[in-house]
Amino acid sequence: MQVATGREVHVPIGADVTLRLASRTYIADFALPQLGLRDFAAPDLPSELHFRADREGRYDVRGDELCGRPHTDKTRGWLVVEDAAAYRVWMHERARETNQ
Amino acid sequence: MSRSARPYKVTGLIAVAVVVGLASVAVFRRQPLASAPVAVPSSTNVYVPADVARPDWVAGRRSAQLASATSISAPHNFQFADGVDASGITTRLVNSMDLGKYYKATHYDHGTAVAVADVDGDGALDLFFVNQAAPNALYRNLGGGRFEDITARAGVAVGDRACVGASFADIDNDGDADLFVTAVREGNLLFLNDGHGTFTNVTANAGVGGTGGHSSGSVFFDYDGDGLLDLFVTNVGKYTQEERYPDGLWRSFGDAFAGHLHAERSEVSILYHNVGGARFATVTTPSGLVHSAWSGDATAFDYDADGRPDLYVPSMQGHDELWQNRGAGRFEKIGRKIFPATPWGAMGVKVLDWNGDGRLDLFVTDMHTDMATNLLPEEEKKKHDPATMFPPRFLATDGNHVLGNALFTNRGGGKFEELSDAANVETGWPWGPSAGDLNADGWPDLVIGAGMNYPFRYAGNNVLLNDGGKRFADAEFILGVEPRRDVTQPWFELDCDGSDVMQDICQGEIRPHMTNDLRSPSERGQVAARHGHVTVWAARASRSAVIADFDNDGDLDVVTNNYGGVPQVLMSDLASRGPVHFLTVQLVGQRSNRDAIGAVVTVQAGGRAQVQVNDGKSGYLAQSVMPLYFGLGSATQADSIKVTWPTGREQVVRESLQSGNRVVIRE
Repeated sequence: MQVATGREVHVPIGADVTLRLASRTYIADFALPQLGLRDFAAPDLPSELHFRADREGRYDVRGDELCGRPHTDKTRGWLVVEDAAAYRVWMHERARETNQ
Repeated sequence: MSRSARPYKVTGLIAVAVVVGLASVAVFRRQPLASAPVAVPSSTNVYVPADVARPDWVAGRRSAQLASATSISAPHNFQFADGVDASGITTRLVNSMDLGKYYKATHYDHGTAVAVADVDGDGALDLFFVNQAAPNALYRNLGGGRFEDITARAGVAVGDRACVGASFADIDNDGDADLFVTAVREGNLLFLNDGHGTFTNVTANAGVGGTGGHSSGSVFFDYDGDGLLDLFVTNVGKYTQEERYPDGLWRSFGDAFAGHLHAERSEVSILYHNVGGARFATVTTPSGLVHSAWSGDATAFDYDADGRPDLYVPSMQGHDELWQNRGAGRFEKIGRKIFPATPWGAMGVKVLDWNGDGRLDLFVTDMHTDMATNLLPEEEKKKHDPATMFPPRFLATDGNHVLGNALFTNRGGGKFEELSDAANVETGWPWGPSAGDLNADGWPDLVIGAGMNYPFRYAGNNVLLNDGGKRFADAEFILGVEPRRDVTQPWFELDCDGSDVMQDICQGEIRPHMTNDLRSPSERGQVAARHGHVTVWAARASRSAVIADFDNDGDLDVVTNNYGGVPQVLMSDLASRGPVHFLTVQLVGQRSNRDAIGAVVTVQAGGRAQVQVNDGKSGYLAQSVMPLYFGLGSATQADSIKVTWPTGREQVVRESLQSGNRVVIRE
């Protein structure tokens, strides 16, 4: 199933997760600091991050251009790790919105 | 154009696909606007980001540094004052539109040179300012801190290409300073001096126009000891697309700083052998010196003191490299062996004997490591946190790096010890390093052109006073170099009811943002759309700086080249506060190249020896022809001057070494 979402994405606890990063224009920095994950994507230079989230929670996702420019410390997005049932609900809601 | 609200534009984004058990995919996308920005009457006609206009940290740092002055043993009771208004220097460094209206992170941001030579043989040091989107400027020194613009009659304006570096050197050994200018893609230029400050473009005949690369710093050195200066030209790498802006400059890639990850964007730097008659032969491949890293400057550096000049080439996106001169016109890459850990984002380099042990050390500034995160003022004196360094895949190296400036201290036998933190030479956003004895105490001090312009906060230049060869003391505020007179300046103009209506700032952005920013406008701090004529302001910053005695009063002055504005002409008042003991040494090669580039000079005075290499390097992207300056401290004369010429021959002078003399030593 493929769905579209905004600044929040959910994954089920215990699942093997692959994050595929891509950027059309700039060098995009991507970090999930609480999970110790950081990588970047640039045009023609996509990347993948692999992890398994073992603990439920709402984790900060930080993305910015990889150039040290000033930005606020506001969270840019969130990764929500939740149980399988909650994840299925979220996916179905996103699927319904995506198809509308 | 009506004053109605406008929808927010989206021109790009980062997509994050999440694959869970290979069954589901979610994709981040920009949230649609809940509502468009609300239009307001025309009152936002000047845009000055708050953190640019009011750098709150400046006052605190100034206070702290002034309080620290009591702990500095080196003389520091003197001041610099910016004399640009009275100097007659009016050139303005115009930057690429990639650094303003169409901002993107690009190597255009790396600055342009300021170089020094006595171009007309009148005994005073003249100044050449390199420009990016406007003609270059050559100023003749009239004395007393006054200059006149002689660009037009000198014939070195160029103006049809983005110039970057400048190197003065006597390439035909006729006794005057010739000039090599590098440029982005349009070809480099060699100008022969007629001895009176009028130059002739001899590029085509000389064969040094280059390969159409993104050229940057260049270094004259005599690698084969034949008495003719050879030339190494750095090519950064392809950071521009096949499209020009209205000003004629090439438009940068949006991902210019990922260039080192694209093999097809690499460019090989060029080694030219001077074959006489103002002609050069390209010897890059046969010499073995095939350098394709992303490098913008270089310096000759006889690291092993074997008499053959080696070449240290900083890399702005990777490991620095050391090319060992093996003789017979051959070079070998030995960087990882001699310097296993180097900065990752190195910009400038300067050879000096900072600790007075008679061995030549290497100071390297690291700019790009400071871009791994948003550098805060309180972080400028610290090495970068390894935990927040660029991802390994972006570094594309073995990861063994000095995370900031490096001070490679020569322990002899080809061994170096990195002492940047112990010596207190870590700085923020550094570009070009210069060394000179600002307080004439016999120890070389450092000046670093530093800072970022739009859209970053203000950060100042650095002055590091050498405290007796033990450490350096921060002194830019103590000496009046910082804060500069104005920390902000107008940067570019927008017509928010016309052609620039879709520009982010017209759309109401508080600060420029990247199109992959996933925050909502309100989270980013977007305000109402702006209308009318908007002047966008930015922080002032320097890139290159040169140290010399421009008013011939016996102390060293500093001149900087600054994006978007006029230079700083920082005149020292050291000589007006009391007697300054110093010597200048001018070398005239006979069998060696006439500029004696590569000679090592040792001055014995006051019970100790000072060593300087005559490499012409002062600042960044530049090479100059000027006498060496030796502060003598309390000694009123030197005991001896020993010159080790590039030929290897030694010559000792013991006469006429009273303070204030210019000692001309002929080989």
